Amino acid sequence: MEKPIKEFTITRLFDAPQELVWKAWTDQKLIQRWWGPRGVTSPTCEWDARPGGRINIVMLAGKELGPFAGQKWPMNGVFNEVTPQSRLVFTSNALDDVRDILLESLVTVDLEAVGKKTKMNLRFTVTKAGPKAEFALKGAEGGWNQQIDKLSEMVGAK
Amino acid sequence: MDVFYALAEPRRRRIIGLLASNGKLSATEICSRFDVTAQAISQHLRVLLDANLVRMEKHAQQRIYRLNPKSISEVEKWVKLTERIWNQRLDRLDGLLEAEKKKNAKKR
Repeated sequence: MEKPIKEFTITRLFDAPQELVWKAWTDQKLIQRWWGPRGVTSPTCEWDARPGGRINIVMLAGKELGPFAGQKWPMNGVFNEVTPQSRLVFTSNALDDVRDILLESLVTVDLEAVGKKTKMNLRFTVTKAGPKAEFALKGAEGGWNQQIDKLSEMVGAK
Repeated sequence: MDVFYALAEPRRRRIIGLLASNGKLSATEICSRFDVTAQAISQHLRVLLDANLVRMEKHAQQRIYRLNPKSISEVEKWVKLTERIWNQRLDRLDGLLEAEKKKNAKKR
């Protein structure tokens, strides 16, 4: 086994039945309502939660994000595994403005009923950094690195 | 040299992993962990050096490699940001689930 570059895991307990949490993860209309983090919407949202089904989302930064307002952050991916009610595995690629891959990652979502609540475990693993990622992260003229710092501060601020 | 190009190759990632868990290793020690030729590993080490991901010091006949912690942080930064974004997304999911629960309760 080779070591992945980086990964993180988030565990949450949702106060909702497993069927509803599953629906929120697999119904395109519901995904569109929560996919964008704070201040971000997803005007393009294709989410075909079937094995081999595609993901194509374009997030749009809103006014709340100040200097980032109007920026578009596209991503795409494919579902590798869809086990009804319990497991979703999909690839998730961050794209640049001409849709070249910056970073490839694999997301695994596991759901488990705990009484009337649902425990969710999400694992995010960076599987590959595309050749243009360094450009994006370190690009002198774009200052993307600074942008990431700023954006981190903004989304981190409660 | 492109950091991410350097990290895109599985053997080079493994070298990074080895250095991360061992602190420092000589070129010979690194080669002993792989089935490929010493020449191939030396090329990978060259790419990692050029990308500034590792540092090398010569001690007598040995070349000692260690990680350059500064370069790694670019990827870490990205991953940290992604983690925050996911946390916010899941906060919204939490809100949506509450709303859907109320909606479903009314229907009944």
